[in-house]
Amino acid sequence: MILAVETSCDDTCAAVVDDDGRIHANVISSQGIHDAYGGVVPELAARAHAERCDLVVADALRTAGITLDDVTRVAVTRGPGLVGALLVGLQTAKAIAVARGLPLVPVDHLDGHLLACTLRPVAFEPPFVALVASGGHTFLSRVDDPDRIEELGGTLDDAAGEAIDKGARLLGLPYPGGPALEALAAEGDPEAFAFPTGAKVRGLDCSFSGLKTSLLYRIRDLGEAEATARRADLAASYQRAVVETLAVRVERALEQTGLDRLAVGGGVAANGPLRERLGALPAAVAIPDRSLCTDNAAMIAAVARFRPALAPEDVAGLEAYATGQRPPAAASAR
Amino acid sequence: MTDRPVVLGLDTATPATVAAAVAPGARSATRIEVPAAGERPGHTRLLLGLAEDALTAVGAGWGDVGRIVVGLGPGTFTGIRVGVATARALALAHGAGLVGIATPAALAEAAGGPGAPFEGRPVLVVQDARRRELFLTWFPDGVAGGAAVVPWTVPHDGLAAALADLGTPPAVAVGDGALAFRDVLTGAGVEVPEDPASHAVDGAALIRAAAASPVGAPGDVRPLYVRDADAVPTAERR
Repeated sequence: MILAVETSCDDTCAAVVDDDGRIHANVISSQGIHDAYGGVVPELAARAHAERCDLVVADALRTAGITLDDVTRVAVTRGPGLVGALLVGLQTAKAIAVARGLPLVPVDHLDGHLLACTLRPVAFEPPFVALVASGGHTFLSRVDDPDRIEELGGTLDDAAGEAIDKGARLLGLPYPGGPALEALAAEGDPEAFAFPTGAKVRGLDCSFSGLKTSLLYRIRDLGEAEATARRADLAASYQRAVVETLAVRVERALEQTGLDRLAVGGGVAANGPLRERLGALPAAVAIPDRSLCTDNAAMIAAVARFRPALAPEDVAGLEAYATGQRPPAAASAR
Repeated sequence: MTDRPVVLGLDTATPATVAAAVAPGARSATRIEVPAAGERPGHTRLLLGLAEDALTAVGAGWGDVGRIVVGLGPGTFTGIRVGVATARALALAHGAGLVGIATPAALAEAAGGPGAPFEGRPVLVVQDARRRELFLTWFPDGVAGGAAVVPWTVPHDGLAAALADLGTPPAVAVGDGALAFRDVLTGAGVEVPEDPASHAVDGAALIRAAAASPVGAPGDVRPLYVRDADAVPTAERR
């Protein structure tokens, strides 16, 4: 049994997964304290992790109906993420591993999103193209094997989830913007406004900054009264542009790689129109349950099945890495 | 608890990383790593290794630990979280009892506790709080004595006024802030020991300071931040 811990952002997560990829517990304690601030406040996130990380681990063990005696490996997110937040989970996992004499497997958070679909019951096996789109990350990778992952493209500026949050804010919707924007968009016409999707820009990288600016100008041009009256149309058209921006690159990636298998991960995978659009592609498409798309520890355990444990003498000293500070070893693994 | 008689102490509130183990028969070991000038604290990298070292030195292993004492701060936010998260997870790993105690209580214990140079006399703990401020913690009887310890912050130029407000003059001041503001303190008649060790957290003193503290629920063992996070809700922004 693998016990995994993940605290890279604002969810305190622990999971128990067996070596066959069966999930026995996947506990996600959402902090629910950041909405009033319009985004995740790193210090508040770290404080909330420190108040509950061990309790979430205990909860995962209880849910799985096991004790630490049944755990054979401990896995933990080492990065990338908010360092103050990561450190809480890292110390928790290290302390359990050291005190119990268990092997520790450090895991890259992004590999977790890429391999979440390998868990049962989806059990989607490589090779596949993977799209990961969340509030913090947006990239496309080719996964030939859990150990052979190549990044095909990323975002030149904002992550897709960030673009959704920013668009939602411009439309006066509360944070986090995803669910609110999707609900409002459902009442609008996605063809009402033409927002840029960069469909003519070659390659597999995407960009969302022009889209956001375009929405800002459109709202300004319409004037307050008209923009308010057509809010649903604006939301639907903006959401469509985000979906198309991603879908066009996914289509290209499938074409370029010659693969006909697609895995989708990250919080944006919860978006209905995106699921619908990608689901219609001529490929086998795996989109795991929402609890495996947003941050979770089961996906960290999923990766740990395929990665070596640290040498015992290196466990106590293991450090985290922040976003933008991925060590070469982690980067080349993708 | 006699089958697991070892007490482990951990503190990462100051730049130093501190661990200590006390076993029956007065066997004890303390480990401390202080970063060189200009270097960042190595709490994450060092804490578990030092703890294991201290346990080994008293002939014990992790399974022998029945009680864990952790310094709650105040100090750097990240530092105190490393200590608290580690201690709580260690307690979970083997079901050890967990006690959290304010870090200044360890400094006060070493200066004014039983057998200490200023035994029973009033101790002021002065810690660097960054941002041109100090954390002050007041121990009028030399040690915590069961009373809740409530640290507070004062600006650097408010130390003299804070001393006057105490009513009773401190006999001694300890902590890295006391070293930095030696002139202000000695000018007010407060002794500041020369020995640098008096101003660093001693793991064995941390354990002694918590000797009378009952084991708490792990969820109640939380960092003592003193300061709020710098964050303003959207609704309150201008």
